[in-house]
Amino acid sequence: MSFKRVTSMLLAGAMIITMTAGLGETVQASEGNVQQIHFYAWTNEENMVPLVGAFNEDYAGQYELVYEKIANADTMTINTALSSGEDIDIMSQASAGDLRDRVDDGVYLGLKQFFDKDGMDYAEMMGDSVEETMNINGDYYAIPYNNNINMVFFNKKMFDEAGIDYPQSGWTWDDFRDTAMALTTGEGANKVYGAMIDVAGTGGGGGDNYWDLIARQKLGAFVYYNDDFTATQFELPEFKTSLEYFYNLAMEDKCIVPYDEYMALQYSNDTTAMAGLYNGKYAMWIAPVYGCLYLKSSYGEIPEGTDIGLVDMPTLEGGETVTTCYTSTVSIPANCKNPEAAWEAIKYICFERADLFAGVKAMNPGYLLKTDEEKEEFYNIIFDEKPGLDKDMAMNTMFLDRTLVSKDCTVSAGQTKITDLVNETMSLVFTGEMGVEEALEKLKTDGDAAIAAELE
Amino acid sequence: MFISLNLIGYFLFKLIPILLAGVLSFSEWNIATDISSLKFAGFDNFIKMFSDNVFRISVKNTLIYTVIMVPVAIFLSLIFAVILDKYVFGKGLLRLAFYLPNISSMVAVSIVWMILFLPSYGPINNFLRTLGVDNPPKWLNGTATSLISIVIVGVWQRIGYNIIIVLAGLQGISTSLYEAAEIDGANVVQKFRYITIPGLNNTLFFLTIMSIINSFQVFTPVKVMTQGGPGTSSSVLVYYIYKSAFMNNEIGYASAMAWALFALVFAASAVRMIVSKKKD
Repeated sequence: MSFKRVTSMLLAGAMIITMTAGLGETVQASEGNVQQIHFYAWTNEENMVPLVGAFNEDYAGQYELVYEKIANADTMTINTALSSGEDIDIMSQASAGDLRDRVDDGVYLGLKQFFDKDGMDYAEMMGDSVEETMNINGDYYAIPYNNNINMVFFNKKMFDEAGIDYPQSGWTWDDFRDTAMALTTGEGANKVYGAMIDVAGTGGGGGDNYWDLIARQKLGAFVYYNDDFTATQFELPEFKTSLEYFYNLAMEDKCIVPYDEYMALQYSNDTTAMAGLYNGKYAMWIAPVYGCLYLKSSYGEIPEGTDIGLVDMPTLEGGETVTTCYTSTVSIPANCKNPEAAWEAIKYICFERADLFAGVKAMNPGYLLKTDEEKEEFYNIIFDEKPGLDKDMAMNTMFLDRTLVSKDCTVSAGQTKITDLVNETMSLVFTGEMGVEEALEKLKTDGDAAIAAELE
Repeated sequence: MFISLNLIGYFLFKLIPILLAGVLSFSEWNIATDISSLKFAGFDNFIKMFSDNVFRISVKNTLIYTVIMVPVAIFLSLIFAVILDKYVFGKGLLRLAFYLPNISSMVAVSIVWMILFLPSYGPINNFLRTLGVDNPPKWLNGTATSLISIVIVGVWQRIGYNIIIVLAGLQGISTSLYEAAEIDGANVVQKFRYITIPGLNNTLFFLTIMSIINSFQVFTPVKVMTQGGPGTSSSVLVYYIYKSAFMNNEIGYASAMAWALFALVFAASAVRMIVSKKKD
């Protein structure tokens, strides 16, 4: 046999072996009776070292937490991991819609049994709005490991230079508009905007869609759906008020970053968005609390003298703050071999040492911080080592009371279509191709049709 | 034996997935679940395509993209190739310059084009304003212009590859034909019309078919620059398949659409094969 023939046979054999190597059963590498717990998430490995280390120390001889990094939180990334045949004890996810799909297909284990067994109350721990959205047919299939509360970051220096007082919690949307207009200056490439808001959901997978913020503040969770989830409610005046307000900011007052610049300058990327704020491209940025993470030096050098403030979201009438929030969650797959062990790890990750998972990512924990001591400790972690952030202001702001409205949508009927519809329609509205009333009519008609089609 | 490596790769990574996509197109399946939960859906996914407005728009946009991009890119590359072949200095450098877009990262390039296309202060509209255009196009941000903007980027990217192929074809045309035409008093245009174009017949046919197949698969500029918008004005077939499969988890439906795309590409390839055989 010639050398070439032998080589090609060997290579072909090696190729088959390599490609089929991943098809076998994963062997649990356990020492003695130590049970491995495989935790899948998309956090960078180095950020997981303290959490994994602490858990393995606290549960030495009993459990071993093994971190398995997945590429991102995309629907397909998580779904393919779940169907891969790997031993997954805990899976993370960012999308509540995906969570619902997985629950409907029996992918996840109901967790109420563990809450009941440990005498824990979901609503009391996580708050009413989060409980409302995570309650699927009387059970809970996911525990939030963070709660991303929407706030307003602002560039204090720009306020100082314009001689405008810093906003205070309890302010109104009219105050926001007046402030944004007063801070808008210049023309063309040198134009400085009063604020940057992802009004049209342009983040690829849907983005933040803040155009409906006022409606959410007024109507609460599951805002797109009527009470029995059989139709949309875009006909309600709150939606018109909300869309009209943000439309006017963008198209009439021109005091927020327009859609085209938002897209072209990649402001859906939080690092870029925070850089835009401290570099003075705009004076205010509506974002979750974890937006402050991007002030860390590892995300780029912060200019000397950066001074970023934090204030609560405005409301229509002012006074008590109502703001939106959304969670990322962890679940136990239904085929998990040792759910008890997974539950122990979830409690550790989400509650006992949330500081090592949510905290290091500058995220609020999924559970409510109730006492001043708890708040002091956790906010110190969130706002620690964020050069350029007015930490005292941020701490004081976070200590204030506010009502949270969850944006997580775990309704299955028509959700995917409605999300697409909202994104498509808002891209037309905020490029000036469609008016407010026409947009809401389209959302109502097509949204109702999507729900009806799925309920059929 | 020598092609076994290639064959194994072909079977594992191409043929089997293609056949599996065929099976999936007749099913409904959440990929997060195991294969036992796969439900037979008959022709539902194929029927759904006909009632899905976004699918229809995506097919229409794909065809519009092809109908504009292919002839424009070939025409321009023909002109540039002839000029590069005979009428300029620094041919090598210029060839490289034209070919660069073809080997550049389309993601990075798309981001640069987004800034060029900015309606408010983008360089293109600033230039148009200096020419006296009061209301320049909204490019990526207008329903009437978003697809055209994608076509412009497509032409810009494709032209370099086409030029290289046309230049190769030009080398196959005997110089004696041009010399004879010159003696007969033919001008530049006549030589181009009666010698160059007929001489490039096979090359242009190859380029047309390859460009059509390539244009059916347009994806990256749409994903990066418009995400199919505003509205659905720039949604194309591959982007819609991607969105359905990877963002909306509609694997069965996306597979059915992928087969529709396959039918389009197969038809173009079949035309190429039939015509090639006839020529032989």
